[in-house]
Amino acid sequence: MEYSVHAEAQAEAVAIELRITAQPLDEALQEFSRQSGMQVIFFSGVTAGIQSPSVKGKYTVAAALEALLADSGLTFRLINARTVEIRKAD
Amino acid sequence: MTRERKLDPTTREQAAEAWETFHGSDEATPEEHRAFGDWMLRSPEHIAAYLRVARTMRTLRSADIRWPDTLAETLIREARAYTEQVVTPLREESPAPVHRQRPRAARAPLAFAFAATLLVAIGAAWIVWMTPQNYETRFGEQRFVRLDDGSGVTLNTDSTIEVKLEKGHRIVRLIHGQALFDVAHDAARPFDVYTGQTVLRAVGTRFDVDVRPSLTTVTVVEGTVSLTHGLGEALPLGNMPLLRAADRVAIDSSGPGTPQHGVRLDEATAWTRQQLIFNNRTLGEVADEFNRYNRERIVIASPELRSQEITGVFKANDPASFLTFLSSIPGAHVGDDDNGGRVVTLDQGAESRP
Repeated sequence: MEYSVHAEAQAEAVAIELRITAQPLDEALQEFSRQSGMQVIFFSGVTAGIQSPSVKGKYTVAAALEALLADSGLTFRLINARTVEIRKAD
Repeated sequence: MTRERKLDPTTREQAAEAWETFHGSDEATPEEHRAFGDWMLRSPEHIAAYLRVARTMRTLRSADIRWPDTLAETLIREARAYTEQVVTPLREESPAPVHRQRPRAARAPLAFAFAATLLVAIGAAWIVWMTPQNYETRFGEQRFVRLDDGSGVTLNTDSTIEVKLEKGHRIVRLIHGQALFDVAHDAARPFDVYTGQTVLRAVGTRFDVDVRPSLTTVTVVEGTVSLTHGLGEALPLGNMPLLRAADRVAIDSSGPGTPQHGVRLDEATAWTRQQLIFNNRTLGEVADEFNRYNRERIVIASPELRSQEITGVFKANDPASFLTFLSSIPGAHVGDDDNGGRVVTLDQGAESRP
């Protein structure tokens, strides 16, 4: 629990400069991983057919993921401080 | 005695000169050999300096040879091992049939030491001309090697290559493992990578070769590579279509398959950044990939879980995060197996996909 609180605090706190163009969401998430250094994982089916918006500027990890997943019906969950899982919103 | 002594600049310069004499030209005279031997014997510093230069120039194969940590006997043994491989060409190149490869055991110890020193020198010199250089990585290691022709080779975990740079030809044998080749352009000196029954020829290009037990995969990152399979058949190369950037060909026991075009190059070269990138890969494949780098093996026991496809990006040395992901799948459990690894099981009837 403590760990996950810490991870979330970090995801909130650190702003990263991102330049992610609009593209298929699975590719956008890999680009996000490259630029942020966060590890990303999801079951391949969940992003099928979804296009991501472009996300450019300074974002925290949480804000960036919210922007990437806006209107996709998907959400994210921090597995630990360096890993995020993308999944269907409950 | 300190391990790495500070070397006097003059000594270093002399050592570099000595190196030049033996490696820079192939016509060192007997007088030069003798003068070099004399210089080497004058002090242990000289031997240390020479070995350091030789190592820097990558002419000493073993990284373990250090003066004074290495016993004189070991140096002699190394020198002999090298000399045995080079005796014949050495004689051929001499204007007169001079046999200088065998020290006389009956001589005084100083003379023996002298001869041994000379053998180290001659041996080191000949590695360049005659013996292929081996480079290897252990399990979990990666290494970048700059070859003398300017080409770069990145070795992935548990890999071995043998390099032979000749006047008209550059030959690399990928004995096992995976390597990314960044070939320096030299049209007059083709760069061939041999692996199993396959030869890959590059002029100036970048390509990855991944040798697994039953499958070898070649991925071209830049430029073109020609592929020939079946070493029994006569070269010239090129009985296969040229492979271009983003082409990949898989070679199994029946030979190369049809090239696949437009593969994702960031995924193919991710390992050089210690990353694992997965696009629609099964959890079983992902676990296997982590297991190439980490001692704590991950075994996914449930066939249902094993066949689930994921997409993701991980650090190769962070299987813990992957395991945390696995343990969060409803019904999945991560436990210890008998061999110090981790085993992932799934409850009967559990829904594996959240």
